[in-house]
Amino acid sequence: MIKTTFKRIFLIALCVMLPFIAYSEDGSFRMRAHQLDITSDTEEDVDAEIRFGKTISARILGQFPVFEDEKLNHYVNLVGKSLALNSNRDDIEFRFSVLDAQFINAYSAPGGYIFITKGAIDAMQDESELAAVLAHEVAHITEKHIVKEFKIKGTEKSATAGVSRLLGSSKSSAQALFSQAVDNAVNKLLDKGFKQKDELDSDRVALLLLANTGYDPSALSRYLKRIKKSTKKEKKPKHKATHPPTTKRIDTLKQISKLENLDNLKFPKAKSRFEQHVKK
Amino acid sequence: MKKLSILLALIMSAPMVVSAEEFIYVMSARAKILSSPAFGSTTVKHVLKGEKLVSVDKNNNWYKVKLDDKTGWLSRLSVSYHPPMKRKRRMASVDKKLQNNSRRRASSVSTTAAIRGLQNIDRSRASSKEVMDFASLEKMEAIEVADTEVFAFMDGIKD
Repeated sequence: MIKTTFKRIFLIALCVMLPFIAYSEDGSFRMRAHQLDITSDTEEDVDAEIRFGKTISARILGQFPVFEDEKLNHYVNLVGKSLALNSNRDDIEFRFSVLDAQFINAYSAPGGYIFITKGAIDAMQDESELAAVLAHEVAHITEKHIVKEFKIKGTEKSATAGVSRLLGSSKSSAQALFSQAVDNAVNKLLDKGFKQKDELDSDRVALLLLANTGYDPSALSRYLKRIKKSTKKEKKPKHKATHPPTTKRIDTLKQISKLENLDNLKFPKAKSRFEQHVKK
Repeated sequence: MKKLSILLALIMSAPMVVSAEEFIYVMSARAKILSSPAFGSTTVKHVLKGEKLVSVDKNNNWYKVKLDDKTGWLSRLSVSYHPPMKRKRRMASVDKKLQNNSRRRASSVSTTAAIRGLQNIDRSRASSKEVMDFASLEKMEAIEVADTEVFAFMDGIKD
């Protein structure tokens, strides 16, 4: 009797769970897990994120000067903000700046601060490629990769949380904790790089963001293929080693594009507008 | 036993029944409601940040929403279960605090270097990664681009 009862319970449970299990088969389980945030940030959390991001950004700008071209910076802001206005984070102001460096890379700090090197722009052929690289960085911020890893919260009392408290404190120990968290985050952004799963997650969100904004979603893999070819013979400087192997990214992008039905979309590349604004 | 099985099945399937219809909020500044759950399909309507919609179905990254006399689909990129916050602008008071902190930080780096007996050249190398450029950050934040200009720019995305 007991055996039969358990059997029945197990069968019912299996039937109920089946749709969820089947859903994970196409690899989209992870997407489902964070499709919509079930927790909500408080005003203090967002303030803390911006403060943390500002400090990191000041450090990035301490390493690399800004490329002094007002028109180019304005254009990059227009492309970046187009993506940002289509993202799910309108609670922060996204800001974009071109760095005067010839290597190819881009960085994002919490709170909406995004940097792209002039070298990265020089390797692009159209506006959709610029949008693709910026979309990848916007995605790191919308998915809160740094915020989650460093547990940046406005009020919680953990090692790096309570940024407001740390920042407002005159105690040197509190300031040291805040500075240490900033040191680790800067080190991660400039040298070690994001976790591979976070990079691939950003690629996935970037594709959706491009399509949502109206840009050709295949621009990201097109750009990656080109820079892979051009940087093949070069010895990689430290700043370039912040992403998973390009081949792996291109393969994953192919899978995502198929899964999200983005393969046959005929979205614009906006080549002529790019050529009007970017002088090489 | 039969009753117990039915009761158990009802309890376990309850969350699915409840989640069939729910409220969602538009998070992006402006979002497109499409005729089917696929990018590239026809735009039915534009909705603005903060609008509260009733979602009646889900399909992977898409939410089916009720409109007055029809339905449409919204990308998950544009929505949340929570109402959006107002956009945060510049926080001038925070800038001052951060800059003061960075000055204290620079001074503590010099003190540590002195204690460790580093020469001037070694000190500059030790602190090169600590350099903060708040002036450039302020210039970056000073670039003002109105949403209306961005929307007009977006409408000009073409080959």
